[in-house]
Amino acid sequence: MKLVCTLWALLFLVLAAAPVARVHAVIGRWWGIASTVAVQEHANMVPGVARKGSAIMLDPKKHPLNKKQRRLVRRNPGTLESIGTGAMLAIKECQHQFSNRRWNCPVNTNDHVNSVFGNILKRGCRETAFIYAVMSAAVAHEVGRNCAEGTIETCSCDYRSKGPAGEDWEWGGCSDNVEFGKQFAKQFVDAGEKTKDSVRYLVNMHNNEAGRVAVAENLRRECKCHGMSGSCTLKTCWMRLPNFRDVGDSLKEKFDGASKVAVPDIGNNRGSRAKVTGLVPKNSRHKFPTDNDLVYHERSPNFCRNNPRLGFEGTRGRECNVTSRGLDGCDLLCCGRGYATRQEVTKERCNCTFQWCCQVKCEECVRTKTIHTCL
Amino acid sequence: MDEGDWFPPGHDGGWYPEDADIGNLPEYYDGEDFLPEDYYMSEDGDWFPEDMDPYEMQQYMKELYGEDYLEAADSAGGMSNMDRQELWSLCVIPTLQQGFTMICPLILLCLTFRLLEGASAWTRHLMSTGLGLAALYLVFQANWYFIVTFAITGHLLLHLMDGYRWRGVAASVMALVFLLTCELFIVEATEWHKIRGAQMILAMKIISLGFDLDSGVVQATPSFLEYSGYCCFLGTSAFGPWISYNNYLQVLKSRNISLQWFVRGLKTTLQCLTCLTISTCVAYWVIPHDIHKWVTAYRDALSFRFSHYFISYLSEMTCVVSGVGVTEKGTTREGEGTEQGEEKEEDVKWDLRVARPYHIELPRSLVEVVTNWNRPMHHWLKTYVFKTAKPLGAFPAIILTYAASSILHGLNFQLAAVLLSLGFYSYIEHVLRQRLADIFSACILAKRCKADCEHRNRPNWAGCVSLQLRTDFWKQDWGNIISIEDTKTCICVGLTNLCFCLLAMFHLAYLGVMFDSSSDVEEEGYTMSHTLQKWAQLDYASHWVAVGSYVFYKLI
Repeated sequence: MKLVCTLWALLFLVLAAAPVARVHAVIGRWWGIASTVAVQEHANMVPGVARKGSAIMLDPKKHPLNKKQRRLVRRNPGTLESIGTGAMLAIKECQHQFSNRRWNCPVNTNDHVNSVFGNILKRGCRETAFIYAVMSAAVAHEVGRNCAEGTIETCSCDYRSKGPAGEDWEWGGCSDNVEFGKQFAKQFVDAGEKTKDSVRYLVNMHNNEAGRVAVAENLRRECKCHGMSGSCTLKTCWMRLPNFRDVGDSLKEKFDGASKVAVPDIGNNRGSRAKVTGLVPKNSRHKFPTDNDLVYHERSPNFCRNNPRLGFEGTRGRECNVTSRGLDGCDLLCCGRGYATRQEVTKERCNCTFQWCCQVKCEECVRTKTIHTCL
Repeated sequence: MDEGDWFPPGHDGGWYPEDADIGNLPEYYDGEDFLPEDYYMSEDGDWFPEDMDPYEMQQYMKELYGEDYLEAADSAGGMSNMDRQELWSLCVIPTLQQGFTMICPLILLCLTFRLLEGASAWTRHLMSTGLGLAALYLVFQANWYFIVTFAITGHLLLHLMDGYRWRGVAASVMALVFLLTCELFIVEATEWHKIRGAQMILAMKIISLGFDLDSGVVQATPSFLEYSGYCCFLGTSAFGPWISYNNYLQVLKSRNISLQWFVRGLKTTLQCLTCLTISTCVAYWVIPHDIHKWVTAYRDALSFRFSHYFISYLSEMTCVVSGVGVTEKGTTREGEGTEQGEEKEEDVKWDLRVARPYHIELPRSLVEVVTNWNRPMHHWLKTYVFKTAKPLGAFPAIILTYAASSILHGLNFQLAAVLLSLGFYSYIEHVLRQRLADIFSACILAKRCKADCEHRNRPNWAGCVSLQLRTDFWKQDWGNIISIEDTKTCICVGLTNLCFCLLAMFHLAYLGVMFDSSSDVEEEGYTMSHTLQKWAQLDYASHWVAVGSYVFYKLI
């Protein structure tokens, strides 16, 4: 509750400062809201820590939302919290999905001027595509969830039953929350993009949409039959929002199968089809990317060594798995530089048993763990 | 070799399917002395989770986490993580809304029927037929003509055999043949699973009419209109319950719209929606799925039972709202006292009960569960099967009754297994408790003791409870109020019955566990492997307990 109040106060400050605000064309600035939330949480937990967030918000040059985004948030009270938690969720998910890769989704929560993800956003590689998609998905997901919880009032549930005509089941209710979340995310996230003419703009828009589609795709329909002695005379169904982990998993799958695209050459016969999507695959033998595919237009850097221009520190010091031959294996993760090995003693809960009723009791085991880190 | 150039510039070390395209490869080779294995996994290399397809992934997860993984992923578990608001808006509201869209048209039809009372008998039967068909169409859409065909076949049979003695048996055989033919050869499994409830009710109606004609309870063979009015009666056609032909004739009477009727209708509607909510949402929300397999089993069975109560209350509602389900004073509920003269308003009691949840959720015994599960059906089985089969002996008659019941439900291994198990369980319970009651001469029978029973140890519940309620419980010389013997009886009998109650609940959780909503089998009928799989997960515990108690019974 305290957090919510603080955020409200911040929003008020943001809005008060709005008329003098000059919008900077920094990519994905609104993501900074995540760091604000983090700072606030931190400040709430540890007394005496200055509220850095307020200071940022006070400076109109540094606040993360642009004019259109502020208007959206103002018109839909309660969405600011959703965006904040959504951004946090997206960062956590990104770091979970990429924990075994060289690029492990590093964020810089102290940098409020630039985006939390750093300069990788200035490129147009796969990783960038994932970031855009997961952030957009998280906003759609959180706004939809908060609609269902009732904390956002502008999305009232539409209880008219909707279902494909001719099918014998119908569902309705608050599945529309997801639709609201999607629409809101579309307005809000897409408003963050400035330069509308570049290929990067098209690619980012595409990935934003792919993220939102992933949320809708992962909706779960749960049904139950009712009838005399277990028959199925009547069926009731309801839609359930997915766990964000499911959305993350599905986006990661799309990351692995992302297509490299380009803007079409004018006059090319493939260009006519591109008017629909705006993008054509770089390799002419590949199919056109659909709405739910991730797209990119630049190769990824190799992420091996410290790259100040990219803001990536390289894989030095990263923990690796010596037995794996995969991306988390020491060979690949350390880019062949080799690895150091050390022993660490840890205490773990083990031999857990269920005791009636209802506790899980564990013993504490001391284990020696061998840890390998990249040189 | 510079260590930073382990990968060619511009490659992030990931393996991307389309990078493997031949067209891309030369980019990597240009000016480099690397072999492709350096960038891509070698053929014999280990696999990586992210490259697996979903099926492989499942296998992998299974290896990692054991078979439980699929169970956890399948089950509706995790609902317990939702907060109340989410549960309300995501589950309760849509469920209720769907319930309403189904119930409202039915209620309207029933009310129309009820309010148009007082017309001639001919009109009433016609209305009953017409509105009943409308209700059937509303619920079953395209499948309603199977039901109509069945009804017409039944009518032809009863008329052709007019005057013969074996109409009941003939109707039973006809119903059996028709149901089996439909199920095995004509109707698709999913469709059949939708209509089999209604088919069962219709079969029960036709068979009961046949037997009633044989025994003279119904004197003249009903005309086509009377017969169709009975078969399609909208209060019972879609969801049941079964009512006898004589009870159906109540619709011909005109009764004032009384407060009692209105309250009863409203109450059943509310009960119906409450049970729907509990079955679909609340049960899964209150009981988390990962505590213990028996807790999960109990929850699934609970959800199934409440789904049954929902249908029972729904059928009760349609029946009551359309004006049937009345007991008149001076006649028993199942009695045939419809030709009585005019009665006053207070003589009428709207007391049709289909299921009695209290007696099922906290049962005294399995016998009580069976009796109260579907009371009209229980009555039907008792009257038309058990009494007919009684000359064969008590045990064969019981087994035949359960067999008849499972055949009526269709050729379904799961239902047959549940019903036969239930039959054996309740038989074992009955004889065991009979034996124990004889030995201790106590009121621990499967059925409640009657007021005039001869057991020595009959608990004086009134005395025991009033003793408990006294404020001076410890101070008084309470030997004066109630004897120590009485208190002991109360405690012993009460505890014994409580144990049997818990045992019955355990059996119910076991028997109801496979009516779960986790998989697609729910829509097309449960298969044998599904049933056995569910029971195997619970180690067939309940069957072992039943066998154990039978051995115990034989020993004492």
